[in-house]
Amino acid sequence: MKPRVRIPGRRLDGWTTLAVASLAFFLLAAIFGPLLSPYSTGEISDQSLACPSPSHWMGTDIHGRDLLTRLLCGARISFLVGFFGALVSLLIGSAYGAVAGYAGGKVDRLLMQLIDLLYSLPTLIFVIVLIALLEAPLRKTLIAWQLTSLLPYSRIFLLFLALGFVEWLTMARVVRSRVLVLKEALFVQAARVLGRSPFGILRYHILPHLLGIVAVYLTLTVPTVILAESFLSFLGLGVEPPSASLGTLLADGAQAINPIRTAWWLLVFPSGMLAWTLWALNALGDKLRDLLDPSSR
Amino acid sequence: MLTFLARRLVGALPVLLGVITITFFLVRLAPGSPFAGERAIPPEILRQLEAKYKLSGSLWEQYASYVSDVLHGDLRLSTRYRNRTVNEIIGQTLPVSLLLGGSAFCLALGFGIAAGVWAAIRHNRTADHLVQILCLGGISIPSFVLAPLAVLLFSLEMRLLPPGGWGSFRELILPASSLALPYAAVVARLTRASMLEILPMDYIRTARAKGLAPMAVLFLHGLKPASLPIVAYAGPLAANLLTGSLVVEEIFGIHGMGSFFVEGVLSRDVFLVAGVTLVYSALLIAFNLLADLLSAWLDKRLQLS
Repeated sequence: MKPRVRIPGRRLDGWTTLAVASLAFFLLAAIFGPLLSPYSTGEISDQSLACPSPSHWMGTDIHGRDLLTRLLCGARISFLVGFFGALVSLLIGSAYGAVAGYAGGKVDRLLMQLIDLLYSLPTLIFVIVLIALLEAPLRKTLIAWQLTSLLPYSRIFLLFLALGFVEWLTMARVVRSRVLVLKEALFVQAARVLGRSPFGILRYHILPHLLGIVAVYLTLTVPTVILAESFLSFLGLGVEPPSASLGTLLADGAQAINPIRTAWWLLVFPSGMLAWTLWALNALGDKLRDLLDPSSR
Repeated sequence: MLTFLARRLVGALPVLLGVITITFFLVRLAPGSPFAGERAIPPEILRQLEAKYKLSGSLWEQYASYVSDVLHGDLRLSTRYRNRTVNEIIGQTLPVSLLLGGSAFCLALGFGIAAGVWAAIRHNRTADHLVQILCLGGISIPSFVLAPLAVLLFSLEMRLLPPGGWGSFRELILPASSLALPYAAVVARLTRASMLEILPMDYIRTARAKGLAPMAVLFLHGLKPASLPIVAYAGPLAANLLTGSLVVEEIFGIHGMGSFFVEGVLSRDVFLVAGVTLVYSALLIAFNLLADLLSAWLDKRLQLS
C-alpha cells in the first residue's frame, strides 16, 4: 500500500488555479470585451428589459442597454479603482509602518495607538463625507486648468484616493512588524555603524526585504477596495451614471426586482461577477500569504 | 480596574471632540448650502434661516457655539428635516439600528463560532473543508449582494418572508441575516484557527483523560481561551456592521440611523451628519472598551493599561 503523504498548503491548489484563471479571464474580458461587443456601453435600444438571448447574452436593462457590455465596462472601472486604491494604500501603509517600526519606542506606540483607534472608527463614513464634499472643488480645479475632458473621471479619481486613505491600516501593521524584526538584523546594524542615514537604511536595506509581503497584502487590499467602491456606488455615492461600476449595476439590479416584474438577470449577473472576482482575489491573496508570510500561520 | 475605566473614558473625550471637529469643518467647508433648493432664496430670508439654525457669524464662532451646545446635550435642529431636532431623529432611529445591528452581531457570532468549532474538531475532514470553502465564499459575498438576492429568492420566488418593512420578527430575519453572514464567515475562520491552536494542548488532553464530557472539554476548557481573538475582532466587527447597515437599511426600506445619515450628507445637513457620526463613534468606543474588559477577564495574564 502506498503511504499517503499530505503536503500542507498544497491541498487547495486546484482552487488557486481556478482563481488565477478566472482572474485572468475577467481582466482580459474587461479590457477587450467592450471592444469586441457589437453594442456600445450607453447604446439605448427599444428592447427594454429583454431576457438573456443569443443577441443579448445577459439581457438588457430598462433602457434597452446590453447588460454584458455594461458589465464588462463596469468591471473595468471597478478593477481600475481597486488597483489604484490598493496602490495608494500601499504607499501610505508601508511608509507609516516603516517609520513606526524603525523609530520604535514612543513614536511607535503613538502611531500604533492611532491605528487601533482608526480600526475601531467607522472610517467608511468619513469616506462618504469626504467624497460628497471634495467633488465640487476638484471639478472646479479641473475646469480652471482646462482639463474638461477629465471631468467624467473626477469621481473615480476621488474614489480611489479616498479609499486608499482608509484601507492602509493592515498594511501598516504588517510592514511595521516586519521592520521591527529586520532592523535588528546584522546587515542593518552594519549599515548603521557605517553611518547610513535612517532614510537610506529604510530605502536600500529594509525596503527590498519588504517587497514580498507587501505584494501579498496588496493582493488582499484590492478586493477590499473593490468591495468598498461597490458599496459606495450602491448607495449612489460612488461612480456616477452614465458610467457604471459593479456597484451601480448591482443597485440597478436591486431596483429591478419587484413583485410585478422581476428582471432577475439584472441582479444575478452583476452579483455573480462581483462575488466571483472578490472570491478569486481573496483566494489568491490567502494562498500567497500562506506561501510568503511565515508569521501569518 | 477603576483607574483603567476612568482613563479610558477620559481618553475617549478628545476622540469624540476630534470626530465632531472633523465632520463639522468638512461639511461646513464643502460647497453647497444646506438651504439651496430649486429656487433662489431671497437674502433676508436666508439670513433668518441662518439665524434660526445658528449658522450665522464666522466659522469659528459657529464651531465654538456648536461644541458648547453639544456639551450641553443639544445636537441642534436638522436642516434637512426642518423642525425636527437631531436629538429627536437619533432617539427615534437609534433603537431601530441597534436592534438590527445587535441581532446581526449575535447571528454572526453564533453561526461563526459554531461553524469554527465544528471545523476545528473535524480538522482536515470533509466538514472542515466544507466550512473553509463556505467561509471563503461568505467573505466574498458582501451584504449588499446577499440582501437583494435573498429578497429575490425568499420573498419574490418562494414568498416566505416579507421583502421589506420594519416592525415584526419576520421582517427582521432577512435584513439581520444578510447583514451578518459575511461576518459570520470571518468569525468562523478566526474560531477555527484559534481552536486548532488550543485543542492539541496538554491541559485539554488532561481534561479528556480524566473523563470530562467531550462537550465540557470543548466549550469550557477549549473555547474560553480560544475566544480571545474573537473578542479582539468584536470591535472591528461592530464597526463593519454599522457601515454595512447603511445599505441594508436602504435595501429593505428600514428607517434607521444609516438612511438618515446618507440623506444628511447629500443635503449638507451639518448637524445631522455630525450628530450621527458622534453617536456612531461613541457606540464603537464603548464597544471596544467592553471588548477589552472581556478579554482581560478571559485571560488574566493581560494587564489592563
